[in-house]
Amino acid sequence: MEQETPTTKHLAGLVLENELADSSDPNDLQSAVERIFDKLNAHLSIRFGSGGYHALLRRALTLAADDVSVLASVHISEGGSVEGFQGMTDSQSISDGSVAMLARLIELLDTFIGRNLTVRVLQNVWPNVEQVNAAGRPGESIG
Amino acid sequence: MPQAGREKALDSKGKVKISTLPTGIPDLDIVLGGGLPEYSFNVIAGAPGSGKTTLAHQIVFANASPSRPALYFTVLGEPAIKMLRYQQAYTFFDPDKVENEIRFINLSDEVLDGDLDTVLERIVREVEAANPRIVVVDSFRTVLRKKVNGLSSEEELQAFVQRLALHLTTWQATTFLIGEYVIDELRDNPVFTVADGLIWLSQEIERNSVVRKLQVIKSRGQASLPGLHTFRITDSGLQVFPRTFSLYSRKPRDINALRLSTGVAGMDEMMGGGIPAGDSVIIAGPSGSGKSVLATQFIDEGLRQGQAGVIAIFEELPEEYIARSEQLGMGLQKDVNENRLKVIYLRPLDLSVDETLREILDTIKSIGAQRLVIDSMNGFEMALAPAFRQDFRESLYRMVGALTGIGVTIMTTVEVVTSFIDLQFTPHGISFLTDDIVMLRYIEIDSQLRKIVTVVKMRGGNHSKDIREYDITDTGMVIGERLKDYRHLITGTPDRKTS
Repeated sequence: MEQETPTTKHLAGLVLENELADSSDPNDLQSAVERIFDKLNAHLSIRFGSGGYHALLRRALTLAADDVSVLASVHISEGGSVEGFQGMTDSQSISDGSVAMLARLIELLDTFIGRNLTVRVLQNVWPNVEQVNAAGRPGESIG
Repeated sequence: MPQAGREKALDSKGKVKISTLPTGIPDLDIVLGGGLPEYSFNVIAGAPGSGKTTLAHQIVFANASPSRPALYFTVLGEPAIKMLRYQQAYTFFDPDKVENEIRFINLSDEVLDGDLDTVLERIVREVEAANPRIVVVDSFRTVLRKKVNGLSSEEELQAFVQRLALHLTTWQATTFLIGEYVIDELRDNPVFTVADGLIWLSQEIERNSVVRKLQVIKSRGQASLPGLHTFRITDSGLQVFPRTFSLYSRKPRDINALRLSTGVAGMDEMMGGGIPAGDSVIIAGPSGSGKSVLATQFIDEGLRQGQAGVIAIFEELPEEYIARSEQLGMGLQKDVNENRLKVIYLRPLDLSVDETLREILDTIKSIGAQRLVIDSMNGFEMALAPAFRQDFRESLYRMVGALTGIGVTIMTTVEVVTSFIDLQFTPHGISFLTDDIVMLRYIEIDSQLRKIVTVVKMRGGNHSKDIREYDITDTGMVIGERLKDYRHLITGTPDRKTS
């Protein structure tokens, strides 16, 4: 698997930014991360089935854990919830870990369904997520 | 024929008008009798790999809109994420429509963990929320198979299918259930009983050729084209080649039709002034007798008179054909360059007649051709998939009918094995298909192999009864005189008459 590209990491960061911006407490990183993965669970399970989405998520976690060591304490529950971020106290660790995991998930979606569909899927949940073109330059904001 | 997407004109006494939806495959709309009846409940069935999912996707992309989207329910079988990956390879797949106009929803959790009521509730809930124009369930078979293995009774299955059909039709959705069925399952299956339409996709393998066929087994509300229609799957998706026998009718013979010159003066004379426009002519003769030369002169003459032409060849490459014509002083390459002549080479060894006809018709229409050469019928037969060679006569009948129906004058070369005791004009007994027959033969005179020509038949009028000698020169076929000094010419070994 290729290393996460700057564009997937950028997109993952935008998702976190958007979720924090929508939150009543923009400093509550743990809750934002929990909501992100809950929304992805609901949204992508509809399209790919819970089995399909959970498999993608576990794969993303495995790949990201190689890059960010704090993810060793994170696991996926039976129902597809991402657990382990709640026990972290260091905001940087939460941010790095969640972005790394999100980036790997986006990368897997890119691999299977292409960037265009991946962005459309994400924009259905976070309409303000900026579309990033293949060169990694931000495109026009959609939604 | 009514066009898909428009209402059919029916009795204006308040009877329902059934609108049709396009499939996104124009020739499939023809096969269906105008398109898909709106609000119909259809099954697309066939073995794995037959093209069911691709067909469903083409229908979805052709019809979904923001106000009336399409819901594509995936179940068990091909994972949805892989299906999206592979379907993107087709040109009809527009990613901008996904998520808005086309929504993919997976039902595997309901199928694995719930019962048929759970599945139905989920589908109904999604349909009522989205108000879709099109609903696809892929694969529906896996829904029912899971429940059969979970010991649902036949009555429960029947009830489920009927309730599903009722809900989807009531919500004005046109539905497609995809299923891996075999043809023996047609009998006594509740799905097929409830369905308004049943499209069956199949693949036939014979020796090294694979032929895909589509059949509309059932179509409530409109008359579809019967029989098996061949299709291919290309990067544009399914491409269907309808059986043509009912599409084109032969134009009534015009007894005063314009006579087209063959490009060979003596031949025109033997044919009463030339070939009647719109006729089908066979040039029959053994190998090396000059059939292709005459056919090339026919096309060349047409080009000189401003008539575009098409040459369909099966046994050599277009470059080779044109190079031979250059040796006879006919500059066909110039006409090709200037789009007055098309030379099409058809030799994939698994053609269907309808596919060949489609290519020829499209080429004729692209340049407004008035003359067509098929060189040769023997090569055409070899290029067909084995399955189509068995009913070659019927296939030719449809093809000749369709081509002459559009007013093109056709010259077809046919190689016949010369027998000196059996005068055979054409193989397969296809003489009845053609309006005119010209026969070329070898004879032996004074230890020389010489050639004779005779016009055997002209449906539209008188023709010469002469048997004339001819030769192939470096400018083409040249007709000579009657061999008056000989008799028994058609035996191949004539006798000189004694004075």
